[in-house]
Amino acid sequence: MAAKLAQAGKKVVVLEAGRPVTTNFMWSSLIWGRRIHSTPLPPLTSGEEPLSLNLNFAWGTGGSAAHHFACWFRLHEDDFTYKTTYGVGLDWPFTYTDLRPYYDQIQAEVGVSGDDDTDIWTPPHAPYPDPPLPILAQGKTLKRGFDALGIPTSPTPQAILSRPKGERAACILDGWCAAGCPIGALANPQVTYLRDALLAGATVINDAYVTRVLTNAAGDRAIGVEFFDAAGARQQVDGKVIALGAYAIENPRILLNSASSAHPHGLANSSGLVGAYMMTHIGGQIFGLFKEETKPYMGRTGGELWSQADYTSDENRNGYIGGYQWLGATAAKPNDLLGICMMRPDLFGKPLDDFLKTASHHLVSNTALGNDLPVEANRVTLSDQKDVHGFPLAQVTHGFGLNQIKMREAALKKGQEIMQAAGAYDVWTNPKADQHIMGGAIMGGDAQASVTDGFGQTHDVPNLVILGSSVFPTSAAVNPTFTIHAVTLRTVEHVIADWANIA
Amino acid sequence: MILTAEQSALLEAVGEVLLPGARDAGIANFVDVQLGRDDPMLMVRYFDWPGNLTDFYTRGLAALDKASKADNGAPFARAAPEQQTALMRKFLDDKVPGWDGPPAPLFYLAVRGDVVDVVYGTVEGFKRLDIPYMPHILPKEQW
Repeated sequence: MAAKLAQAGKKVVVLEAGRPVTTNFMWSSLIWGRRIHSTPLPPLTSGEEPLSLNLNFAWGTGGSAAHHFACWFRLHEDDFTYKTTYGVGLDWPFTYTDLRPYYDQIQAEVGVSGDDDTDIWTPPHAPYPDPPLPILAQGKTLKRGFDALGIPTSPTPQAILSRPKGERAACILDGWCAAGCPIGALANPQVTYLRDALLAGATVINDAYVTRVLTNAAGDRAIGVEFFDAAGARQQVDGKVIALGAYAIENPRILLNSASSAHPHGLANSSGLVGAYMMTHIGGQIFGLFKEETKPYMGRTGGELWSQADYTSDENRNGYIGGYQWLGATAAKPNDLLGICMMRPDLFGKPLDDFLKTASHHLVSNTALGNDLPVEANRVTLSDQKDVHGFPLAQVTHGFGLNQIKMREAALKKGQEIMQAAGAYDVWTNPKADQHIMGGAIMGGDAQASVTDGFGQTHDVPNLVILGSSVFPTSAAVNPTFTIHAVTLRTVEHVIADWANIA
Repeated sequence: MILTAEQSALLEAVGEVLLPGARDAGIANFVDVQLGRDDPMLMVRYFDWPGNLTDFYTRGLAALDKASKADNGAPFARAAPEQQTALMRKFLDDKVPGWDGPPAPLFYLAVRGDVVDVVYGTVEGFKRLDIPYMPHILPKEQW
């Protein structure tokens, strides 16, 4: 958003709650790498299946995209028409055909590696601009299992360069993605659109903690935002268009905290749906140990091998409404939350030591990532607890329905079959590996049933635009960052084209 | 120093039970240094713990010692190895009798994560596992 607006000649100010993060800050260590993860102000999480928040959060320039693993997939056509097709969930206010040009433009600008020959699932699309990244020892071992069961696979499409692009280097497959990629192979904002924004004249203010969006007295125009600076002083910056991209939990929190006499229940909340429909991706992990050397410390944190053979949400086929994809052969170092140590949390003492010494050389992992259904009761509300400035923290409640639980069970069963078919001598599972956060300010065509329109403009305050996965009406079963980019590009092009009416 | 000498000694004893080598690798120093930072690089930050991190560790250590005295009739550091192991097995299932610290599974996973950090999460740790470190940017300090 900032890059395209600045390139269009608009004066752009980006307020970032956290510290400056450059690629020089991305040290190859999963201890030091925690500096680009999480937040010092964690929201409160609850419910039958609480959302995992801090792994997804960030507190610095580039936000969570600075540490994302760059698994870039497109939503399928039926993800946009879920309610119409399957009778549950919601529909988007546009179709895949509408969004496709933006996906295509983004992948050309950023660089996405993939294999058009073996990717049989992605809807019609421009060819991948970069050749696929290689399948290494771990991926080859896992592929044996998929092949034995007749399940097709493809190299994982990733916004990770397989060949140099400008000043950005190609990936050297060393598995440090989770600590941040300082060489520019992985498309973190520092080397893509944030860089473009700065080159085009945008200003980034760090340590600027936004608390409220401010409106005129009538409440029909946003006039600026309130924030607190590093010294704790209240500041205000005014603007003609306010774009709120504070992540899926904080966006609704800021809107709810922006209540005024014109918007007594929170800004842009005439529908009562600000905070509603919080979603995650239900996950399940399958692990195996092999006699051969698999070198799991190599590769990409997001994995090498991918399959959407079980993506369809057809209840008649599955016995549940929902679909999932496989993200196989993820690179793992010994420590950290996604490290090898957490793959057997029950072990300690000498058994843990023995496991780490073995698994660091012989482990294979495979992850099922499935969709969540939008449920109004899964939502962000304001807590009784407050931040240092006196504003209520977010309270997030989330649970899965029976469909998703059934799907996870089915995926874990099939994943074990794949691992055994690959020749593992020891197979086990981790039933809870949920990831990503979406919803909370969903887009839709009906102002009574959504927070924004199809361009992210809030129904109540048209010059207030919501960015990021907040606006997703459905989660789909794919990592969200590519779609966030595409939807944002569609939004910003509309804002620029209709600037005279919106600003 | 954030932790007292007694708390550091207890943390080392717990660390040794969780992963042999934790004491020599510097578990007490690691946690103490991190708790003194504005931005502690401890794995517990991923666990959505809403409270103060120093309290998390000090309350957890106190509760552990109390549980050991109740279970084994001795502080954790002076309990027999098999008693220490038996007590530790109760954490993940949240079955520690009389536990009054932060959630027991969370405390176990956090400290367990810390000991893996210091024993195997560094350049020297990778050597001990015989895996290549391959840094883009080598950390200036191990933590």
